[in-house]
Amino acid sequence: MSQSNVQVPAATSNFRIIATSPPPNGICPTYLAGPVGSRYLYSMAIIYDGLNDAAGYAVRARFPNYAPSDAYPWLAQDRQIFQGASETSTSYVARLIQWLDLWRHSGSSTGVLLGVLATMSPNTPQVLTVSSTGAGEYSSWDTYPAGVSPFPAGQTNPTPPAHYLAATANFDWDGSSQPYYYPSVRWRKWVVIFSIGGSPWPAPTKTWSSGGSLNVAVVSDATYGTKYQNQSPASAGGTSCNWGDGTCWGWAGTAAQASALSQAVGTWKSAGCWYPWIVVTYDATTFDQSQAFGSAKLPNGLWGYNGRIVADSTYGTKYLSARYPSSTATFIAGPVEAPGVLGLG
Amino acid sequence: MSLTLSDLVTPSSAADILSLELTTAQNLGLPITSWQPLDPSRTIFQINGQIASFYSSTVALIAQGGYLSYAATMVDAYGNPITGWMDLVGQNQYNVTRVPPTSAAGPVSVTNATGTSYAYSPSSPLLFQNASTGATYTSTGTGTVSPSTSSTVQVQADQNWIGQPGTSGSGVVLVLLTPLAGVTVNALTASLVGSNAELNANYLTRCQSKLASLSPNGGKGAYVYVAESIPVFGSVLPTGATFLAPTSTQPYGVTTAVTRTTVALNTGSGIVTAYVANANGAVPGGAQIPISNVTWGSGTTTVTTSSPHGLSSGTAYAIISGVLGATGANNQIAIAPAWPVTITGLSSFTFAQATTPGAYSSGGSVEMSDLGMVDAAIQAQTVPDGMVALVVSASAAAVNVTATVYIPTIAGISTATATNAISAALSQYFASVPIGGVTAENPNIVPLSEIITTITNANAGTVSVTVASPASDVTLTASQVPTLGTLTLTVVYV
Repeated sequence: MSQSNVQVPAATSNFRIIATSPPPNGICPTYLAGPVGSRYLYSMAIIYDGLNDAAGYAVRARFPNYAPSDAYPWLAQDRQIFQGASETSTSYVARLIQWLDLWRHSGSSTGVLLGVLATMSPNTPQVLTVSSTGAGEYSSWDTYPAGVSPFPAGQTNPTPPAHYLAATANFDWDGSSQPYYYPSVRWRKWVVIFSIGGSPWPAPTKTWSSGGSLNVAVVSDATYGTKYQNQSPASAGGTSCNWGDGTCWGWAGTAAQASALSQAVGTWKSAGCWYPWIVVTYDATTFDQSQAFGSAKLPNGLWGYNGRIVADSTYGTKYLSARYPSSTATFIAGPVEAPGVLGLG
Repeated sequence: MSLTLSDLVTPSSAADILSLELTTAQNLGLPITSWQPLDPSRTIFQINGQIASFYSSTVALIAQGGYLSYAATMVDAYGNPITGWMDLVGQNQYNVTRVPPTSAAGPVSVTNATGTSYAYSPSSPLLFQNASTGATYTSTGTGTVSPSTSSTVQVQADQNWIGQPGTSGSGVVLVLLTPLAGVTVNALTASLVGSNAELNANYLTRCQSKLASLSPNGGKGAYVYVAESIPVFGSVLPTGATFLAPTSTQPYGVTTAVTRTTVALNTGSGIVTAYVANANGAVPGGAQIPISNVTWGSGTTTVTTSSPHGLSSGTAYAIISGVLGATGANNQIAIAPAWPVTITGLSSFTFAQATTPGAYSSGGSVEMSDLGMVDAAIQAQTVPDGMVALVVSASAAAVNVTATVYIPTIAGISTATATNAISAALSQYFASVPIGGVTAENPNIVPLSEIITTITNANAGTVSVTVASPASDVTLTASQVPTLGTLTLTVVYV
């Protein structure tokens, strides 16, 4: 087996043949080449064949494209490139080989989006990041459309996401949500994942439904002014509101998948940037970068802490009419930034 | 047939191989159970099996050594970590070398009851010893034991006591070996903590963190890697040279290695704060301390800062930049990586300079000592354009410990020895706690259970330990590290 002039150790050694064959094809002297002698030699030589093969495998096992699958966790630790829960070996090996090029893009939209896509592989939904420099200024959109492979094997640089700069800011999450959720924060970005047609996730089924009840405590919070938390007695009604079964309310994925997405963003973002939310939208027409601010397809500045501000009150996502731009979006907390700060994931 | 990594890293024993040979021979029709007593066949198979077993061990090492993370887990036949493989992979794959062991260092308070002043210097140092462990310490820098008062002497463990063996815990009274009439040594108010060579786990984390530094965009790992990779003065660099002072190629150095770093984002402001700590707790010095004046006379430049620079006495390295008027004080203009400065006050210091740096007009800041060096390195190597990062020393939270230990009389451990061992063990444990503590049943704690375990394990044979204080887990803030405060110990022999 060879690549160009680089010799890769053979997968199969044939020392047992050489040891039991007389010259010129082997090294076995004639007096040992008989039925008894050759059996002795074969019994010993086959051990060396096995060892030689193992040595070859041992050398090759460090190379991702030759490594056995049980070596992946070690390669992942070494290269800090982790396999998505459903990612194929082929895709993962390609990323392991691209580790230095991937890390060269850490702290950028490209790095974050590639990390998010890897987490969801083999699904390739449309993903984007968006940020605004402030009211009335710019909004910056970076998008990978659905179905693309931005960094295929053999490529040394990822294809960057399509960049769109809205010269007049069109993305305003909570700029009009004073006084609760807008403590003049900047250096923020959002990840939006388009989960269309049930892929990667169907629209949530485990939601608070009409007729259910949720007992919440309204508590004050240093960062957000007010927040809502579950209180005793436990909530009742709704379609499915179980604690600790690995599923989530308002999210058809699992808690582990949500955590993996949050972790991927945390790994690949810049230390100076805050991703408060990862948004999963089930409506392909939402988060449309071509829309102007005020469009029903974009946040209207009244999105606060996983809800919407209406007349100085927060409405949770169970209030379908208040959820903007549609009733079909899931909010996953971004990565942890500062210990003890609520909502920073 | 393909092999798994698990197969490859498991050596075959000579007995296994012999068994395989015999099975093969039997399958081929050889009479393996009827060899005569002097027939060499079995012996030849045995020798072959032994040789193959050795070779199999080498194959296992080849497989394991291909991964840094696997190398980090390798142990010898006695369970001791193997560091050689990891050193090779870390250096060759990541160009990161293991942090060497560091000497315990810190302040020792002495009281001079006489009216005589005693000067000390590198050529005429003061020598101290821990009577229990035997660890010896030598004063660093130049100073004076002032008459009729207490003075603080900075000491460092001697070469034979480098690393953890040189640790003396808070409360220990060192013995002054240098004969100075009327001078007594006071109990240590802060532990002198020496660190062994970087553990495999920490070395692995630093190599992994380095990956984030490949990008100019300032990932968290880049801050950690830069802060914890600054070499210690007196250590041997990968080049083989001893690192004595900042140079143009190695402009940053610290007196004590930074071993703990956390990176926090001030959400909304975009300001990144890197909290750093060393084995002693807080990192000495100051980052970007504003300068209010620079004067020069008789070959000495005197710098005054607007706020305390973080040191009270001794010597250190400092980097000055941004001074207007007296521009010659700026290291970049003077073409000197850092000034070796003498601390003359909480907000002043001096350094030798042959010619006047010019008349000070305004501006300037100084990166003082270890904290300044860490800040300078992070600003130069990590912080992206247009972003702001602050480097802040973790603050030390002194943990007072009151405990009773029950030790068998037959163990022959004196009270002083037991106390010293517990003091050193607690100091080492606190030095390993991350900034902000750990998250277990509650976030940001130093678990009481770990304190009890540390005390129990400090002296072999300890039967029982009761801890009156702290009564529960110690809670830290996100920027604190624990240090050993007052240790009140009762040793009961049973």
